[in-house]
Formats: sequence, C-alpha cells, structure tokens
Amino acid sequence: MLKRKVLLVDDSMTTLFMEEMILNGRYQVVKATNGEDAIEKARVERPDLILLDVIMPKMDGFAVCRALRAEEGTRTTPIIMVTTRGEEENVERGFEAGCNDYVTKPINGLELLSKVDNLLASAGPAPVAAGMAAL
Amino acid sequence: MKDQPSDQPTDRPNDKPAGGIGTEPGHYVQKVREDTQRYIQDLLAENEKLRRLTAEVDGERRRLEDEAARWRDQASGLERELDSFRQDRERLELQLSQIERENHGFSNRFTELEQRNNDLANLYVATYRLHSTLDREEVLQAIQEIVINLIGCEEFGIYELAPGSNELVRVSSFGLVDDPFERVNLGEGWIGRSAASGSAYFAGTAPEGEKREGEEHLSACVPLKLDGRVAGLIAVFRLLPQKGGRFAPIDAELFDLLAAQAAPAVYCSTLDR
Repeated sequence: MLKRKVLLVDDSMTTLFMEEMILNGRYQVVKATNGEDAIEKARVERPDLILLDVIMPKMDGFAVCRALRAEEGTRTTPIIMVTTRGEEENVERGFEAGCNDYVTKPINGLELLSKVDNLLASAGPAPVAAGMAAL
Repeated sequence: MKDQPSDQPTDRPNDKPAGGIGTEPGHYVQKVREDTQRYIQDLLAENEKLRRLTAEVDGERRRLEDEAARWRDQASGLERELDSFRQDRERLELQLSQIERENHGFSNRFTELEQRNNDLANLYVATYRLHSTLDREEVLQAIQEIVINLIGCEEFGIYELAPGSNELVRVSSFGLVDDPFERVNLGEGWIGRSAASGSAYFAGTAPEGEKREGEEHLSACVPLKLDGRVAGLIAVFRLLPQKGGRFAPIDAELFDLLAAQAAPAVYCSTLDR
C-alpha cells in the first residue's frame, strides 16, 4: 500500500520539523512554508490531508483554507488547522473557512496522529500501488 | 318309536309357535343359557383384550420408566457437564479480566511510550533547531520558536548579560508591549534574582514576595548558562490559554535544554560573526 501524503504548512521551521517527526513514519510528508506555496503544492502534489497553520505572514491559514476549498482538486481534501490560540473564535473561523478539524500548539503528537488517522480513515482506504493493483 | 321325549313339539291346538313366548320353558332356558354363554364368551374375550391391553400398558409404563430413568441419568450428566461449563466459564471470565487488565496496562504503557517518544521528538527538534545555524538572528528566532511552539508561551523575553556589567539586556521578545523590562539589574525582582543566583524561578514554587512591580504575570525565569556561568535569561510571562496556566513535564525538560544549550548556541553564532 502506498503511504498517504500529508502537506504540512507552517512558517515556523520548528513546528514543521516537529510535525514531520510525528508523521513521517506513517505518512509521506510534503512541506510548504507560506500560503502561496501551500496552494501550489496542494495543486501539484495532491495531498490526502493538509495540516495548515493559522498565523502566517502575507496569507493566513483561513485565507489559504478558503482558497483550497474553492479549487476543484482540494475541495474535499481534509484540512486540520494548527492554531496557536485555541480560542473559540479562532476555531469557529477555521470551520467557517472549511477546515475539518483543528489542533492547538504546542502540538501533542498523540492527538495529532489520532486526528490525522481518523480523518484519513473516514476518507477511505489507502491507494494501492499500480503494480499491486494489477495483481 | 313309541316313547318320544316330552319336550318335543306336539300338534295340540293350544301349543304356542316355536321360539316365541309361550314356547316350552326348556326351550327358553336353553336360549337364555346360550345367550348367557355368548355373553360370558364376549366378557371373557373382552377381559382377555383388557388383560392384553393392561399388559401392553404395563410394558409401556416400564419402558417409559426406563426411558425416564435414562433421561434422569442424562439430565444429571448434563447437569454435571453444565457445572463443568460454568466452572470453565468462571475460569475463562477470570482469565479474560486478567487479560483485559494486562491489555489496559499495555495500552497505558503504550500511551506513556508514545508520550515519551513525543517528548524526545520535542527535545530533538529543539536541539536541532538551536544548533542548525551560526546566524545569531536565526538562533534567537529558534529560541523564540521553541518557547512559542514547543512550550506554548505568548509573552516572553530573551535577555543577555551585558559584558562587564550587572545588567540584563533584552535582545528578543514576543508579545511584550510597553513593559518595563528592557533592562534589568541583577538581583532586582524575579528576573534579576534568578539571573544572579543561576536558579530557575517558577510561579508556584519561587517566593512570590520577591516579584517586583510588573512581574505579576511572570510564570518562569530560566537562566541561560555558558560554561557554568549565567550568560542570559528567558523570562516567560503569559502562557497560551490552552495551557491552563500550568507547565507540562516536558516544558521543564525543554527549559533545562534551553538553559544548557541556548547560550552556547548564541555564543557560537557571535563567534562566527
């Protein structure tokens, strides 16, 4: 079975590195360090899930989320927002922008893995490699 | 033949027709006798039939009694088997509850290990970030990111001990606006005392009375050491709301790591400059 692909979006190298450490064993990881890069990588890489930071320069996570939801290819891709402040208003804004779930910083590895696993499980089975499918 | 038996019919006018009322008494008695005989025969036949039926019923009763006894044996066998099953079930239930307890223990242990793994990842990321650059600004940025993203603070300052003086100078901060702590003398308030003593101060354990004005929201002061001497300090004011005002166990380890490795990282970047 092919590893599912997760796009990590954060302007903080520390957070990106931490998320990569948590997810890398189970998932194929692609990284983007700003909003525009995230949208471009989402178009090209077609990730199975996007982990999106809220606070980023130029284009914040809410705007990126709305832009991804407006695109045909990423309309239904599960998005988990990573918020620094887990206040209700922030969370509501995230859901309004189209995210599926959220986690707060500092990121708890167990919580993040559980949310990613659940969202990907509800999205359907993992793709099978072309050679394996032929069997 | 001259002498005829007296019960033979005669041609006398008052003789009654044969077999009817008024026939000779002997004839009637004979008929009653025959009827009685037939009736007795019927009764005997009926009796025989009933005797056979009784024998059959007796046989059937014995058969049923045998069968009942067999069923009773079977029932008591099944009862014993049921008892044995009950004992087996109790034993298996006990075994199951033991396995469930073990499973619960393993699950807790697994969660603990995952948490420990997560903590180690935090420490590894922090160390890697501190030492991945020789650019002073990037090192300070890395310290900030560790404090914001791995510990979870939204107001803090990073201080350096000014060379040749007893004064801490803030070189980087996050979330602090118009506060009076740009410069702090050693020994003044929590920040100054923590730097002077080289000991970390944490809210709840350090003496509250030693705080000076403006330090009310101070959560922790962590001296940064270089070669055993205090070279700087991180003063943490507010934590992110989701932390609930408390540090997690991993936070202490991250502070220890910063205390030991942040100052050398800054120092190395200064050498490179």
